[in-house]
Amino acid sequence: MKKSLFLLVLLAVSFTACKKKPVTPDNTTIDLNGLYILNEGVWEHNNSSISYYNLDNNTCTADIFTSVNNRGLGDTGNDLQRYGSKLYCVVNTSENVQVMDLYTAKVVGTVPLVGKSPRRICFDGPKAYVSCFDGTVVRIDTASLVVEATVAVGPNPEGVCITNGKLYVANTGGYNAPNYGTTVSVIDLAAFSVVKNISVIENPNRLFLAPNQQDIYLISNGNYYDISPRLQKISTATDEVVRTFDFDITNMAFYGNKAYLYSYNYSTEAYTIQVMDLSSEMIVNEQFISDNTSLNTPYGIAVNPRNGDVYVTDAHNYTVNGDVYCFGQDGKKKFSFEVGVNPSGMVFLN
Amino acid sequence: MRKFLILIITITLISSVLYAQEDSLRHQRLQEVEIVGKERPNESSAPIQVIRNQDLKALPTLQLSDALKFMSGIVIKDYGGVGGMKTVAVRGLGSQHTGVAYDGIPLSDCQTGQIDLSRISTDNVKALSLQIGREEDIFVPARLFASASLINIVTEEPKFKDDKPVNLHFAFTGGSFGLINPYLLIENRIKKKKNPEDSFYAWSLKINYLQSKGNYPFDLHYGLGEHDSVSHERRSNSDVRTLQTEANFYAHFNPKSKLNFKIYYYWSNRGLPGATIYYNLENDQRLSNHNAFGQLHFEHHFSEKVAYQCNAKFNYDQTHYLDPNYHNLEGKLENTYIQREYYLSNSVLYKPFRQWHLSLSNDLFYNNMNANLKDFAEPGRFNCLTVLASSFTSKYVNFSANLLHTYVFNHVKYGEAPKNENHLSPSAGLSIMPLGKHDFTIRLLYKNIFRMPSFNDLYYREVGNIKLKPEKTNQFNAGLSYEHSWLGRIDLSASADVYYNLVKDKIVAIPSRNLFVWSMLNYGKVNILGCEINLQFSYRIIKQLKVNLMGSYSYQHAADMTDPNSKTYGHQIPYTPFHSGSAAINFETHWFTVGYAVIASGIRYALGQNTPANQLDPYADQSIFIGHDFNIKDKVILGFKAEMLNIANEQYEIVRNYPMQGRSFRIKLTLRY
Repeated sequence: MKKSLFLLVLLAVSFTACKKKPVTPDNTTIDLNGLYILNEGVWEHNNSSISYYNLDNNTCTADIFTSVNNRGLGDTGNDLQRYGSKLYCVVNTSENVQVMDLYTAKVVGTVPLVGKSPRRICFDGPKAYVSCFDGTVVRIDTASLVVEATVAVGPNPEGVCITNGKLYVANTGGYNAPNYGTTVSVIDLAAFSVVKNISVIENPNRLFLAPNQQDIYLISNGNYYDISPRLQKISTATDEVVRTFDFDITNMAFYGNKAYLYSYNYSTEAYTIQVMDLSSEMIVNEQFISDNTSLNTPYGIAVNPRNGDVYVTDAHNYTVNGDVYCFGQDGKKKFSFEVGVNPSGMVFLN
Repeated sequence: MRKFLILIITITLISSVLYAQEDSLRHQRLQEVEIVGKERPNESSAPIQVIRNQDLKALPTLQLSDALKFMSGIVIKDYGGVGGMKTVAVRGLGSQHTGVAYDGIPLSDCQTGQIDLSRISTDNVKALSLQIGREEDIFVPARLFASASLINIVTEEPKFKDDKPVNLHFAFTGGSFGLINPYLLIENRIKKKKNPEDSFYAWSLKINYLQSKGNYPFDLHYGLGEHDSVSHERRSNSDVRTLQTEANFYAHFNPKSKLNFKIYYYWSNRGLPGATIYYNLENDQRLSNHNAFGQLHFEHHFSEKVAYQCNAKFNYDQTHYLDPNYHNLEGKLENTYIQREYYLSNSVLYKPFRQWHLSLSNDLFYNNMNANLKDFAEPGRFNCLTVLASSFTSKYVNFSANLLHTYVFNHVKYGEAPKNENHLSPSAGLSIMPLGKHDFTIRLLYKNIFRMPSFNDLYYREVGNIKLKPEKTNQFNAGLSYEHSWLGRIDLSASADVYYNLVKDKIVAIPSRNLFVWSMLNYGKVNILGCEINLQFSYRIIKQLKVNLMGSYSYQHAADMTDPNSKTYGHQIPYTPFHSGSAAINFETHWFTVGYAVIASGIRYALGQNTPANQLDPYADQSIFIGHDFNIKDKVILGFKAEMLNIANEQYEIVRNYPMQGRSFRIKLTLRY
């Protein structure tokens, strides 16, 4: 197994020269105007996948990872991010990070993280940082793809983001439910050690660096009982929560000075997609979708940085192929397409 | 090399048989008249399939679930290997709709609502039957009427030849991947002079120990495409050890009155190998069980017309789960679940006329459960089942009907209790013998029944939902059966059935609070249309050679009819093959018996959406055996059976990412005194 993997990696490395191929009908070739969609799949089904949607000719490659690499992504891909000319996918149950060429999706290396349950990834300089449910953040050298150092944080860390030489990580404590975590750890990247734990609302999960590169937005999921999911703003100058917003929230994405937020209530199966102005910190549109488009289960949100189109994924009942809806800034549906099971993360190629 | 080895083993086996022959051991075939293969009581209005002890010998069976795979309409959800869980779903209904009775009294698991059949060995089983729809014999506990289908396991009662006081039966099975399975049965007849002539008192003790490393090799495919990578792996953490012990007491005071008492204890400890996750095959979870029960059966026939029986049982079950590398503060997850059942059943049979029988049965039972989970409800459930059943038999027509009343009272120590249930469930069957003979029967059946939500469905952490309603089923069946014997040398039995099952308020898991927390809901609706064909044939060609043949075929279209707007509407429900079947042939000679068996299944889907990505490939699992029993001076019978299982080394899965065992070997030696 180890040997065969090693061979696969070798093969992948030898085939990859990181050059952009010309556009051909061959679905292994990635055009520059498109997006990758990470489909988490269903746990224990090995059906996590990456879809690619070509925005020039509106075609979707359902599982580009397998068609390019002749092997599946594995089980429960949890995070997909681009950095430099690489695409990084954190695969939670398969316990590794697959590193691909950004333009071809060809694997250039795999970082095994067996026993650590890796969750999310962020970058700074030549290093990648991965939060792992075993209560750690690991540092990976992006050139050698070797785990260099590990730092212990709080229980079951999930969301990560980096600014001003500091890494912020949300300690969910999900495995200790109902005693969820209540801290965001701050790691000084130079010393690679925890310098502070910020007190936050229970079950902190997602962290987003604001477009101003100074503020961090945190979504705490609450305890699914009497504490509601809340958005909080952390000032990186003081490393304190400076504001808590009084509305339910599940996920968000930025474009310019606006944030697109959605909230989904699992009990009532109701959702709202809203727009917040980041300077006034006011909701400027309570109902973003302005036509009669309706989703079942919003599961991911992203904005195309090129034109501000808002993409929302629909996971339906979590066991069937999901759909991605593209809305213009006016909240009207432009198009939609089917992808894999449980589409969550999106990465734009432009 | 491997082929060569197989050849050597086969030659060695054959020569040892021949050598034994020359050694002038007297050989004798046992119970020549028994029908090999399955048998359907021909006149029943409900489809019944039976596998007898003799048939089991000619099929590749270690555990009970292996034998059930040869019955039509059954889907065994087999997680692979000796230690993998095996549950039974019949005719597209979930496994919680399948009842299992052991020597007439139901086995139960109120926590999951389904019985793991890997817990029961096939040693000492007299007959194994699957009854669909309705209990044929109406003089049974009410609970046997209360499931959509019923697997009846009947063990052999001791028989003593002449005045022999003790029977001994020892068997040893050894096989690939560290399979060791010794078995001992002691039977003793207690005879005292003061006891009346027509009485019978005996006890028996049965011990069955089994262990397997389960580290079988398998191919791990990293994609569905032809050019996708494959790696060769071995199953790890799939070791299992089980001990099954049973003591039976038989007291037949006189031909009218008898009492049987059974004490059973089961222990197991196993690794959970988990799904074969790409790039991460490590697993270290463990599961152990203690299960003990005592059951009592008393029967008294007051007269030709009136009989009474009482059944009682106490069941204790403890399950312990350990994940030693769980990412919580403790660094491990350790759960213990304890469930108990107290059971009492009383039945009366009244035969006012020779052709018309009536029975009334009442079952009272109470289940409770504890677990070391935070805020666990500690539920209890009291059940009262009463059935009035009636059957009429005549030359041309048999008719039976019954009405079951169920009352369920739920209570919890912590939190809110589910509401109580009160249901009436009717069932009726008609069989017509148009020729007035027993050869040919036309049968019709209707049954309405439901299954209660299990304690896991109702209470398991945030998953459970106390608002759940029972899952209801309606079953319709029409069939034909034919049975004939020619010249005492050729036996043929054939049957065909068409059925339509409707399931509503199907209990399914859906994420209701967040993706980590799924909960149970009454969501689904399923319509199942199917047909089954069964065939048994045997032909004694010459005195020394008999050929037995059996085959079954099943077609099932189990369509999800829940939501017309969903992507699964009209799709085949998961893990239900459209086409499946089995066949077995064996040749009995004076010197040995050889046989071949195959179980095959067409495509299935691992999830509700019928996409190529969710498809599981068809498979055929073939096996061969050679065996014989040597009778030494009518006192000792020495037997052996050598099997090659999955001879084509077919790599397949029944449950996605739980590979089944490839080619393997098994040898069984038996000694009976």
